[in-house]
Amino acid sequence: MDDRKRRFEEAALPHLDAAYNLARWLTRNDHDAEDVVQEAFLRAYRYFDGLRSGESRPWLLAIVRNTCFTWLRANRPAEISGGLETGMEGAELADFDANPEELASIHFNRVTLNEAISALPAAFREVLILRELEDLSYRDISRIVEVPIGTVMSRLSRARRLLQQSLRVITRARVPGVHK
Amino acid sequence: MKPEETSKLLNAYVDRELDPGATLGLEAELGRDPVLKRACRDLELLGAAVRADAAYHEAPQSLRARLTTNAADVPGRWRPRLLRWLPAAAFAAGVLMTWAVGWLQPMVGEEARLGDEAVSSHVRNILAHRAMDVASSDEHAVKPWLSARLDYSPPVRDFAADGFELSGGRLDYLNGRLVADLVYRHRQHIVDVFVWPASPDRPLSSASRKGFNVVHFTRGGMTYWLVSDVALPDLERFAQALPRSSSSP
Repeated sequence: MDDRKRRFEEAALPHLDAAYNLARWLTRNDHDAEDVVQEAFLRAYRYFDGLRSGESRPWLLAIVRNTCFTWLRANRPAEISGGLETGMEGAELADFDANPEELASIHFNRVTLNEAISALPAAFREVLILRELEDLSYRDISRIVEVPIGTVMSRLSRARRLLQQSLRVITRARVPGVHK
Repeated sequence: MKPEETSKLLNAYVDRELDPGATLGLEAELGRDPVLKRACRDLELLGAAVRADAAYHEAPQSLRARLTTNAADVPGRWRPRLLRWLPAAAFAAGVLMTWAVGWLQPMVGEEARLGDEAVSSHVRNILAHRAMDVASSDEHAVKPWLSARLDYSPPVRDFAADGFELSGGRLDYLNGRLVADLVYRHRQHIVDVFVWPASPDRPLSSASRKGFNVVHFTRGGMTYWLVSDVALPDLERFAQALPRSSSSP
């Protein structure tokens, strides 16, 4: 009887859905997400010994996240090339006080919202998913993504601003007359 | 302060990641600055919308099976664990049956759709062990917290004497808007009470959906959706007591 395997299973399997959700949002494809998660679980099993109890979720998600980016770099470099910083730093971001209408006043549906999240650059998509869907603290996100907490804050803030902007744009384009 | 910095602070505030000192400072600022307050509401609305409507991709069974099967190939103790999925599978089958049977007392059209949405929110809250945004049994703590974040003031009252103890409040996203979710505890069960302004009055209607009980009514300018696994008669009794809270000071 292999105690190590049993411990690994107990630590990792409860987080399989979280692992898959993150991989699916990063690869944007069911088949690739499955491959990435499987690879990540193999890696996780290999490096399992350094894990302290109670930290298995951020630990596993960090491995999944790194596996995703390795995979994207190898298979779809265009999606992460140019990097987050260059891609976004120069992007046209309106100040929040210049927003033309309240988000509450526009109607977007589930499909629109998912499209808009999916279209975010990977570095912004990942912090948003980790925060909103996995409910992780800034500290955990900073360990998973391997950036300082200040960077987590600014990426989240930008991710949300981009998302608000694209929801406004999509909605305005689809429903003429909504924007006065 | 640069807009970029303000925006970061506001995000951290909405995420409850700001330290107490900075929180007080920002709350004072929110009281003074309607533009900032609007931006804050927008952020909360966006967060609620993402949590409610962004797809949560659960691992497909094939992947789960592959991970366990791979493991089972390794000599050892994995295969018997497959048996552990049997109760879960039986449960899932039960849930599917309930789905197939559907509403016991059918709510129709708009009402059925909202009932579905309310049940989904309730299930998500439970599955995610979602914490209270404001955890308190003190109605005078819960009500102002919610009022500050909504464009209406939901009626809040503790019904501990009737067996329904207020455990807090949170924001949710239902019917395309930000709504108050009052959370009550009845023995070991959680009751979500979603409340938002609506008229005209509607009498009590109730239904069972996906194994949960739903009670709905509109009175005094507010519409109420109660969702729980509490027995339907108890939930209806609680629903009848609820609007009394609107007359409380």
